[in-house]
Amino acid sequence: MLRAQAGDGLAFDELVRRHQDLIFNLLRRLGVRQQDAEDMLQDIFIKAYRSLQRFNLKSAFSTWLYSIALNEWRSWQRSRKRRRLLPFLTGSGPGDAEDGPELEPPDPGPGPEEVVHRRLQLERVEKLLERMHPALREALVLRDIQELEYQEISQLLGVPIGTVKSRINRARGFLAKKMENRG
Amino acid sequence: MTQDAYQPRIQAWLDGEMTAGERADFEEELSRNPELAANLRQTAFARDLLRELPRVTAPPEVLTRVRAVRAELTMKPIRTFTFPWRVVLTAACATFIIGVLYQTVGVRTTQVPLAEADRPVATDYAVQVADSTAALPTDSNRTLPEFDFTPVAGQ
Repeated sequence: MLRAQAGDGLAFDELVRRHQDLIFNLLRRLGVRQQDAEDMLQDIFIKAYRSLQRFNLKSAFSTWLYSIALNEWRSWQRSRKRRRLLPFLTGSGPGDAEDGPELEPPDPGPGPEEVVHRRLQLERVEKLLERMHPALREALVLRDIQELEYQEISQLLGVPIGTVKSRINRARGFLAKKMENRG
Repeated sequence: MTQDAYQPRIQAWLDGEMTAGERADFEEELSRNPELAANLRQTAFARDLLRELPRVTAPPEVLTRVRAVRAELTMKPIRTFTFPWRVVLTAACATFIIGVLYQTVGVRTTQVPLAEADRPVATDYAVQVADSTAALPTDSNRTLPEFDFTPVAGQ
């Protein structure tokens, strides 16, 4: 980290290599499409590179990257909302490829019934995550997928720990209820 | 009791944030409350599914792209000074507004009257002239100092 701050490009590349999967996974689980996530990942690291001097080493580099990524994600969401409104304003109907949640096509190959069932359940969870309110989604993803501590999540989201717990609580409740309804 | 009411305790139990006493009470309640047990199962199931979601890895070209942009940035000198257009524009606007206000409101309120309305200026002037000339000495009463023109001896 210190070497990267001193201007060592190779040291920065190493930081990118170490953290890119972590951030990419976060973006994808927050519902960002593959191509957008790739572009955003690049932007996040470039932003980090440009403001590397401002990083004070008090928190982990990954936490700092998370905060940049969450900001990027929020702006992406705002722009996506605008894009969604556009068809209604211009008169064209919904239904283009952008609107539907992008899911990997289910593997049609033969396999044990349980494996297929589990895969469908995972796909359903992914869909439900996309339908969840963004504030609940980010808290849940940071906790249950990225496995961060409540304290770190509270710091990243800028809300008290109690609020983080309450959001995760509601998000888990929502998922549990929806999964139950579907069986 | 609704699912929402159970959730905080279910969450605390799942996160291992209960004290030994709370945990024992909760587990005891679980054995006699099938609704709570069902809620716990569902929540744990949803959480496990989330944890089971496959980890997505970044495509390798992202690093290459980041490297390329970084190299470009290193080549380009970073602009450290930017002209403060915003400050200059704000100052210009403020000056303009103050100027307009001064012209329309300020001049009228701060203007000092040159003379009282019921007393002509000429009268004042005449009085002042009369007062100022009264004390001046005239040629008739003016006395010149006496000078001694006798030459000094030895010169």
